[in-house]
Amino acid sequence: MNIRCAQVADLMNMQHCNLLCLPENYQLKYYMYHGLSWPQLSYIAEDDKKRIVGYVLAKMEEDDDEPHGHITSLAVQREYRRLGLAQKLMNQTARAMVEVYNCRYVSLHVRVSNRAAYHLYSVVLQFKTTETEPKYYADGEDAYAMRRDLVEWAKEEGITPPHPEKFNKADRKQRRQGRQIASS
Amino acid sequence: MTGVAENHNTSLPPKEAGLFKRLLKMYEQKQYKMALKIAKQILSNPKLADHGETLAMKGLTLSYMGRKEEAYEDVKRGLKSDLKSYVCWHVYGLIQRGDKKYEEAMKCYVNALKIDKDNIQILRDLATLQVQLRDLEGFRDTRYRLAVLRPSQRSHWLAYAVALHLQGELPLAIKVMEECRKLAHPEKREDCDVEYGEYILYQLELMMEAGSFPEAIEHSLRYESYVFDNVSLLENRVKAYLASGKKKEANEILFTLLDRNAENWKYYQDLSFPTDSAENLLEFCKEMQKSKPSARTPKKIPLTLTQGDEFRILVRSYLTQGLQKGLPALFNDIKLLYKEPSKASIIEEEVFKILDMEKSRSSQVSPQTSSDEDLPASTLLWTYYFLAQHSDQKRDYIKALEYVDLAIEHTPTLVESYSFKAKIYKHMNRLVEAADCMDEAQSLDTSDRFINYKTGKYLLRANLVDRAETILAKFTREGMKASENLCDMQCFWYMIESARALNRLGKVGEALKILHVIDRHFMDIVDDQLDFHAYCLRKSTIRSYVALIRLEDSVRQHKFYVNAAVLAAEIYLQLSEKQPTDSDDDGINDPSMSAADKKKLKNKQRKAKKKADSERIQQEAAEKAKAHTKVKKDDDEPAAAQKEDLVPEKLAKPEDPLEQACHFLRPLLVLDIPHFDLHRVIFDVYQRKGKYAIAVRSLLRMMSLQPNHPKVAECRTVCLDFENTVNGVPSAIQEVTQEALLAIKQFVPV
Ligand SMILES: CC(C)(COP(=O)(O)OP(=O)(O)OC[C@H]1O[C@@H](n2cnc3c(N)ncnc32)[C@H](O)[C@@H]1OP(=O)(O)O)[C@@H](O)C(=O)NCCC(=O)NCCS
Repeated sequence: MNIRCAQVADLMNMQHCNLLCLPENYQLKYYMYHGLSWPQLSYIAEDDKKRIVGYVLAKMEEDDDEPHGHITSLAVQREYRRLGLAQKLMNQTARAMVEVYNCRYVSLHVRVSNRAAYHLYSVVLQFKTTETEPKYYADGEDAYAMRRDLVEWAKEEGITPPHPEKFNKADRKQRRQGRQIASS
Repeated sequence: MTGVAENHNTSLPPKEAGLFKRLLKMYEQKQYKMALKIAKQILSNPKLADHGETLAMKGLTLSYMGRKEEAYEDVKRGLKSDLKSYVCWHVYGLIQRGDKKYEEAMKCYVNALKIDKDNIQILRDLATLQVQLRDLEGFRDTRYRLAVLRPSQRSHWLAYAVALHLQGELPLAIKVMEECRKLAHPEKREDCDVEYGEYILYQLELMMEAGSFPEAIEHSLRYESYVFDNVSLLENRVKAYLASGKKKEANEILFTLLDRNAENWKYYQDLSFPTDSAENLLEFCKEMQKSKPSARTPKKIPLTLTQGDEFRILVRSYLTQGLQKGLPALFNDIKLLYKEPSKASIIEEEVFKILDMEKSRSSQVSPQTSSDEDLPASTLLWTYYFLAQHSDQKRDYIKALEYVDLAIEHTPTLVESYSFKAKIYKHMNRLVEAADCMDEAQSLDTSDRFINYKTGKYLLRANLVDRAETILAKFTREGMKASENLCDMQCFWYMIESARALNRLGKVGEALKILHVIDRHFMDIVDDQLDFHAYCLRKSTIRSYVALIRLEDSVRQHKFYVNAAVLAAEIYLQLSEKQPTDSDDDGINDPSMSAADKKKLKNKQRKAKKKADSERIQQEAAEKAKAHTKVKKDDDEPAAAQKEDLVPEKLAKPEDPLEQACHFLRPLLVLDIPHFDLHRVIFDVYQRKGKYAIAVRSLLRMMSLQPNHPKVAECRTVCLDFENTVNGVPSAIQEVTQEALLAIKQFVPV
């Protein structure tokens, strides 16, 4: 299985993969919007015949007071699960978020019933639940809103952000926030 | 929404001139109701009832309020009363652009610019449509004018560089980019942003495309600290090093890249070693295994490099680990090894050993120990599962079923066993059983869309359209038919599978409807570009933008479109055969005729038909030319932007089925797609249309793709008959065809 940054030419196949795996689907134009706004952030996993079997579609949330990364969609085809693909895709994306956008955290939503994804996020990737959003999904299911702090992680991994001062200065504030979340 | 170029010499009295200014402001602020009110107020002055620019603005406002017909009426009236106003022309262009009448809109912009040649807003709008319609030369010229008019604005230079790039003028594009980069260069490194990095990377890619590798290397080193997208920078540098034979330098970068991402095959492939022996890469993979213990690729590559006992040892531990962990994907993960039969046998032997061990172990362990979490009690299950896949790969379906049943017996709740059993049935062409089995798998995990999709697909393959609809509805929006929702969501796999099923069931009209929806989605996808022309310039994501432009030019070569086009053409071919024609009663079926007579008659008929065909073609061409001039005149007519409804009953009885087939195939003729069935249908359709050059070209492609296919022989026979009959065809086509015919004549299947 090959993991690489997604290209514009991959977008239609990512859309296809998404339609196979998840009920939250988007028109191709939305994928284009991702690929043409933040071309460094989305990653794909392909098999030996170059078929896309997994992807992470990611963006920057630029309007919030603190710009941060966001995972729009993540999926791996069932026949390729448990190979570590999702975990690796997510880490490539997180790395790009730090390196390119000086991103201090990344957020996402997950169905409260999605055991596999929740385990991946909370245990393996160290996301923390910030809140539960009632009826977030079209079918009425609730979502956990989750966040992963990238500042500590980047340090551990030796990843250098473009503006280290900004990246680290906010560190304290962010951690305080993190503690609040953890204790609430 | 596009702003309207403000006019500086309105011929309005002071009071109304003031009102007109407010009108423009309201329009810009999307306060359409207000804008409309003001427009009416100006026009209520009897002397100004026909004031062109006010009418134009009123019409434009109405068009944003969805009142299309009135809008066109006002805009046209306005234009008529003030043909010298660039505002009127611009507005007429804008509302036509809103209706996707890009060609017409472009003409209006050109007229507006004849009156006000340096109008920035209109030049910008013109440039957008020029690139959308791929008038790349025009685009370049317009972009140049804009850059010269506003030389201090670097976004104009950036756009000019892109235009040069698309036109293939690389050296100049690089120079312009260099100027552009200088304009953007921040004073301090700390002030640098992603945008500037994109400029540098774009310039780098231009240099790469121009083949100026030393320059590219220099550039990438000099500005390294300003680029944040390290992956792109480094990957390009590797390419440049390799292209200039600097293998050692390339390796260094590749090590860095592999340290970031140890699962990228290309990085391993690009590594160079002092000798060609596989040993080197093997050694390297071993090191990688140590430094990146969780990476799979460095464990997998050695499996492709080794043979015999060395391979056996490696694959044994790979398999053992995978089976003990219970990796459902293990087989898919190593499937590529089956290309080598010797490896397939070794894998088989090793898995059998594991099977024996597990069997004896499971008979020994007491129930108590097997519940111990450390002991992988399910290794046996995954071994059965693997062997089922292995046997299926060998096409030993009976064995495969045996193993998968053992897996089911061992653990009756594992989704994978059932879904794989379904796959075996599919391979045995037992489609209904396959669908039922997949349905069972799905019932064990109703929360997973992937297994739901598989069930839907298998049901469609078995022509069980209604059941598919019910199953798929579990994951589509409520209150809407699943099929409708899936078509809306551009769910191409579904559309193609269901069109195929409907066609097999004889529901040709319904199948065609879906295929036309696919075609429309692709038109939309081409149209989707429009918003990105300005957007990407603003965002400075130029590399992706250029990739998009290039992709869109060949977007229909995606298998989704090709498959749809092939099926549509096949259906239309069938329909064209069915249509009552003179040949239904041509005596060819007369049993009293001798074979020789029949052949003669057939030849005669064919010649007559060819002649008629060529006459028809000429006539068509003439009509087309007429139609073209008509379009120009019809400019004055209001637009019917609404898409025609697709009615299955109507679609099943097309007036000209072959022309419909061409509608699907035409966009593919310019793309060189290695797809046998595509060329088969192109041949069938175009030879019937009397377009021999196209048919012959497709046959040549078929010959190169699958020389031994029976259809090739069949088409050759048909083709060699052309020779007698090409006389009625214009000589240019004849030449191409003659040359190609020779190739076809001399062709020897291998
Ligand atoms: C969630 C999903 C993306 C995980 O993909 P994946 O490639 O199989 O995940 P990984 O192999 O990287 O898993 C890494 C770790 O996550 C955890 N994990 C993954 N799947 C799990 C599961 N089904 N149950 C429990 N833990 C799981 C495990 O700890 C796993 O490590 P391990 O295999 O060594 O035990 C995949 O199951 C999927 O596509 N599901 C459907 C779509 C979806 O739900 N997407 C998420 C929407 S927010």
